[in-house]
Amino acid sequence: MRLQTFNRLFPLVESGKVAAGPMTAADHLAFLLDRPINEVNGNGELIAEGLLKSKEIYNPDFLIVFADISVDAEAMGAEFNFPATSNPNPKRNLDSEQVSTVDMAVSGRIPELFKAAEIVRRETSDGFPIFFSIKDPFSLAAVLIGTDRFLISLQENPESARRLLEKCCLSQIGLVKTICERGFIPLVGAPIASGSLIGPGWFEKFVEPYLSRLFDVISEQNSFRCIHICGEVASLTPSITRLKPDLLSIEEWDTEMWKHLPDTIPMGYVSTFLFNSQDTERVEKATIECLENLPKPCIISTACDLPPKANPVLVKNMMEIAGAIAPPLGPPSECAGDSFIPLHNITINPENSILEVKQGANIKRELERHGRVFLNNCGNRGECLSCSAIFSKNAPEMTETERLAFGEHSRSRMTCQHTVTEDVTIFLPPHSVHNIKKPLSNFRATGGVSGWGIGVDLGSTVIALYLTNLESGEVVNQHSFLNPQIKFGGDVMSRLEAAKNKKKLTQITSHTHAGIAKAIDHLCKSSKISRTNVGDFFIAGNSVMSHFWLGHGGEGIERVPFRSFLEGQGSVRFDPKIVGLPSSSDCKLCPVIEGFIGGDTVAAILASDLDLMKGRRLLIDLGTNGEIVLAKDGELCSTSTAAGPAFEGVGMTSGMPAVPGAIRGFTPDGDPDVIGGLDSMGICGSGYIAVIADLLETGVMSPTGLLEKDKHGNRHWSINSNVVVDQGDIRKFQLAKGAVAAGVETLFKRAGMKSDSLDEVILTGSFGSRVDPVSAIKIALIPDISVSKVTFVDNGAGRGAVLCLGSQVYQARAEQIQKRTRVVNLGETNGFEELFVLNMHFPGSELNEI
Amino acid sequence: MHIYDKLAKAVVEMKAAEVKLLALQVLDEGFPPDEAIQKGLAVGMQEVGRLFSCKDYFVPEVLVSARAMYTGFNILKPKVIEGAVADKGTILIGVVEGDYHDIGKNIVKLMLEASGFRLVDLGKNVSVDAFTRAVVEEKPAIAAMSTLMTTTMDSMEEIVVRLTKDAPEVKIMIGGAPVNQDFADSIGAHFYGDDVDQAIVGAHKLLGIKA
Repeated sequence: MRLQTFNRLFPLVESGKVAAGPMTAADHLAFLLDRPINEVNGNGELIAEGLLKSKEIYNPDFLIVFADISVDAEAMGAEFNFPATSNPNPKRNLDSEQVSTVDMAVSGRIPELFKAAEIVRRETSDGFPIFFSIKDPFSLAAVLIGTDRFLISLQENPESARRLLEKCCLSQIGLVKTICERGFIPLVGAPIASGSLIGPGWFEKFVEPYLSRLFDVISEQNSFRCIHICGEVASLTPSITRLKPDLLSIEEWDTEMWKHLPDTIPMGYVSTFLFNSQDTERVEKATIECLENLPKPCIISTACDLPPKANPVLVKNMMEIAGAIAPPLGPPSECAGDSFIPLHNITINPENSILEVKQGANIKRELERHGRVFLNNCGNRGECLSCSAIFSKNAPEMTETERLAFGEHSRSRMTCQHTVTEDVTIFLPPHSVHNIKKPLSNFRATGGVSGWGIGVDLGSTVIALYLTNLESGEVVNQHSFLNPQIKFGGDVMSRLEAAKNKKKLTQITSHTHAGIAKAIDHLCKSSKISRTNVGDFFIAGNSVMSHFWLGHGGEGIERVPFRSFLEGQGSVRFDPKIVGLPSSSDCKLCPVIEGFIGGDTVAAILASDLDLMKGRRLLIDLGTNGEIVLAKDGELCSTSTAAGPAFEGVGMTSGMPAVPGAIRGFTPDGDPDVIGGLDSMGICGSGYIAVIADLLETGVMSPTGLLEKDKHGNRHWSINSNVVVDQGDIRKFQLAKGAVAAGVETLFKRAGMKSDSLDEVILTGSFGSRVDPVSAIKIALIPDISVSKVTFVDNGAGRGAVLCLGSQVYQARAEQIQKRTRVVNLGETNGFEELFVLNMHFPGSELNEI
Repeated sequence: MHIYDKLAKAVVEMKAAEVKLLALQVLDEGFPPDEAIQKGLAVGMQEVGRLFSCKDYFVPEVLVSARAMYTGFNILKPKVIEGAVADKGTILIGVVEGDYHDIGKNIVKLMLEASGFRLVDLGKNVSVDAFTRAVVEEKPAIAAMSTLMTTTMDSMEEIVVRLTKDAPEVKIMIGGAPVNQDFADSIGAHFYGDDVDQAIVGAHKLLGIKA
C-alpha cells in the first residue's frame, strides 16, 4: 500500500526506493538567486526560477511551491511587513470575528504561487511531482489573529475559536480543490498544530476534525493526503493514525508511532540547523540515521524548510547520501548569481588542461560543458561506466557500484556520480569515448526474416543488448549497462548466497527484468522503432544468470556436482510481458549445459562454429570461471575451472579494468602499451599476461614464480610509482593460470589427444582488451602451438544470442550443443589436483611430479 | 653442519634423494630417530611453512618439500621406539560437503603434522553425517574444517550444531577464503585461522600446549 502510493507519487523514482529533496521556502530560493527576499516571495516567476535553480543544484525528486507561512493568512486579509532580508512579519492581525471565508486561489500572493507552479511544471518532465504548500486550518487561524491570542481563545472562548477555524477550513477546502484540479499535490503544513506547542488533547479537538475534512476533500479529488507537522509528534499518534495520511513529513523521529502507520510514507527529518554549518560529517550522520530509521519506501528530506542561508554543499551532501538513486542530471547550468560557492580546479590529463568549476558541480556535467563527449548509456545513473576517468589526485570516495566494478583500490570513478569538493586531477584520454564493449564490427544475425530482434549478453557484470534488423541481419544499435544484481554481491557466488533469501531472490529477478525492460525502451527510442515491432528476443547468460532470470536460486549450482535444473531443457521460453514486449514476441533463454557451463558458453560455441567445424579446436573463456571446450570434428567436451578474478585484474595490487590508463601489454619496443594515453595507472587482465611473460623472459621472475629482490630486498617489480607487481600478485596469477592450464590438460587426456595436434585455439572472455597470444603461450596459459592458430571471439555470448534471433537453425544447433556436449567434472577427476599444482609453475620449471 | 641441520636444509631445498641418504645415515650412525624427525625433518618443514607465509614458496614448493620430508619420515618412523615421539593430539580435518577445493586444507594438514599433531584426513566434500560420525569414532582433540565457496558455509554451521550435541568435548577450528572471525563466532566455532600459521598457533592454543 505504502509502496503503491510511493510509486504513484514518484513515477520517476524506481519502485521501492528512496526519494529525496530538501524543503525550500522563498527565503532560501532568494539566497540561491542572490536577490532580496521581498523581491522573490511575491513573484511567481522568481519563485519558479529559484525552484528550478534548486532543482539543478540539488537534483531533488520533487519540488514544493512554498513562499512562507504568512501566505494563507495574507490571502484571508491579515497584513504583513515585507523586509528585504527576512520573511514577512505581521503588521496587523485580524480580530476573530472580522474574518470571513474567501476564495483563496485568487487572493493575496496565491495566484503568483500558482504561476510559479505552472512554470515549474512546464520546465520539468512529465510526472515530476510538484507539491503546493498550504497551511492547516489551525495554523492558519493562529497566524491570522496572532498565535498567543488564538491559543488563549481556545481556552477561554472555544466557541469563537471554532467559528474561526470553520471559516479557515472552508477557505482551505476551496484552495485544495483548486490545487488538485490544476494537477498539483497539496502539502498541508501544520507549523503551529505541533505536539510540543498544543499537546494531544487540543490537537484532537481543534486540529484533527478540520484536517480530517480537508483530507476528505483531497481524497475525493483523488490526490494525496500529505502533511508536515513541526516539532514533537509522538504524543499525537492516535490522531495521526485516524487521519491516515499518505505522506507524513516529520521533524522528530518516533519508532513507536510508525508502527501504527504502515501505509504512510515517511518524510524527513535531517535537522535544518545542521545546514547552517560547514559540518559535512554531521549532515552525513543525520542523513544516514534517517535512512536507517525511516520505514521504506521513504523520502529523505530536511526536518523543516531550509534556513535561508543553508549551505548548498551540505544540502547536496544530504542528497548524495540519500540518492543511491541519483536522478538524471538536469541541463547544464549557465545561471549567474551563485558566487558564494567556492571554486575548484579539475586538471585533465594527458593534455594538462584546467577547468575552474564551482564546488558541488557534477564532474561529468562540467566535462560536457567544456566539450567532452561521452556515450551516455545509462542516463547518468552510474550504471554503465561509460564516463569513467581515473582520478590521480583526490579521488572521491567510491560508490558501492564502483567498488564492485573497479575493485577496492582502483582510482577509476564514474564522473556522473561525483561532484567537485576540492581540486582534482583526472586522466581522460583524448577524445575519450570508450564503451565497455567493442564496436559492432561484423557482428550480425542470419537475416532474411522480417521485423526486429534483440540479442542479449546477460553478463554477471555488464549486460549488453543488441538491436538487430532481422531482414538484413544488421546489428543497428547496442546498449550496455552494469548488471543491477551487483548490489547483491560482486561475484556470482555471493549473489547465490544472497539468493538463498527468498525476498532478495525476488528482488534480484525483478531488478534484472526491470533493467532490461528499461534498456529495451532506451534502444527502441534511440533507434526510433516501436517496441511492439520487436518480435524476437534471445538471452544468453551463464547458468546462474539464467536461474535468476527465471526466478530460481542456486538450486544445485552452488554445490558439487554443480548441476542445473535447466540441463536438457532446451531453450526456455519466457513471458514477453516481464520485459515489456508484446505477447506475440518470441522470447527465449539460451540452453545451458551444466551448472558452470552456461548459455554464454553455448552462444560462444555457436559464434565460433565449434560444433560444425572439422578439426581439433579449443575454446577458452578466460574469466573468473574459466570455461573450456575441446572440439574434435564438432564433437564437444567441456569443463569449467575456478580461476578466480586474477585474469580480470581484480584483487591484484595494481589491477584495473581495461580502461584508459591500463597497461594492456608491451609495444614492439618493449615499452608498456597503455590504453588511451601516456601515464600508466595500473594493469588490466590481458596486461598481466603480458607483464608476467615479460618477467619470465627477462629472468626477473623464476619459472617457479619467485620474483627477484629489488634493491630494498623486497620481491617487488615496479614500472612506476603507480604500477607494481608484487609476489602476492604472482601467486594469485599462478592459481588462475594453473587452474585453466590443468583444465585444458585434463580435457586432452580424456580425449586421448596431444596439444600439438590442435588446429585452433579460440580465446574469449571479458578482458575488454585482447590477450597477446605470444605471451599466453610463453607462460603456458594456453597450449604451445603456432601463434597463427590462436584466434579471438569478442563478445561470444552476444554474438551467439544475435545469431539465434529469428533463426530456427541456430536455435536448433544451440539445443544440440546442450544435448551433445560431454561434461568433465574436474573435482571428480583423478589426478586433477596434481595437474593443477604442476601447472602453477611456468615453462622452464624442473617440476614434473608431486 | 650437524646432520639434523642437513636434514632440515634438504627438506627446505626439496631434495628427496638427499633426505633419503641423510635418514639412512642417521640410522647408521646411531642417532635417535625420534630426535632426527623433530630436530631435522620437522624443523625443515617449519621453515617451509615460513617461506610459504612470506610467499617465497608457493603450493608446488610446499608439496615437493613435503614429499622430501615424507621420504625421510618413512625411513625413520619405523625405528622409533613406541611413545618416544610426543604426540600433541589428534586433529581430524576435512573440506565440507559441496566443495572439492582442498589444496588449502592439504597444506594446513601438512604443517600441523610437521608441528607434531596426528592428523586424520577425511578428504573433500565430506557430508555433515560423515564428519560427525568420524569425530565420534576417532575422538580427536580438534575437528578442523574448511571451504572455499561461500555457498557451502552453512554446512559448517550444521556440523558445529551436531558436534556440540554428539561430541561436546571436541574443539572446532575453521578456515577458508569466505570464512572470517565473525562467521566463526556466529556459528560457535572455537577458532578461526586466516592462514596456515594461525592454524598452527590456534591448534596449540585450543589444547593449551606450547608450540
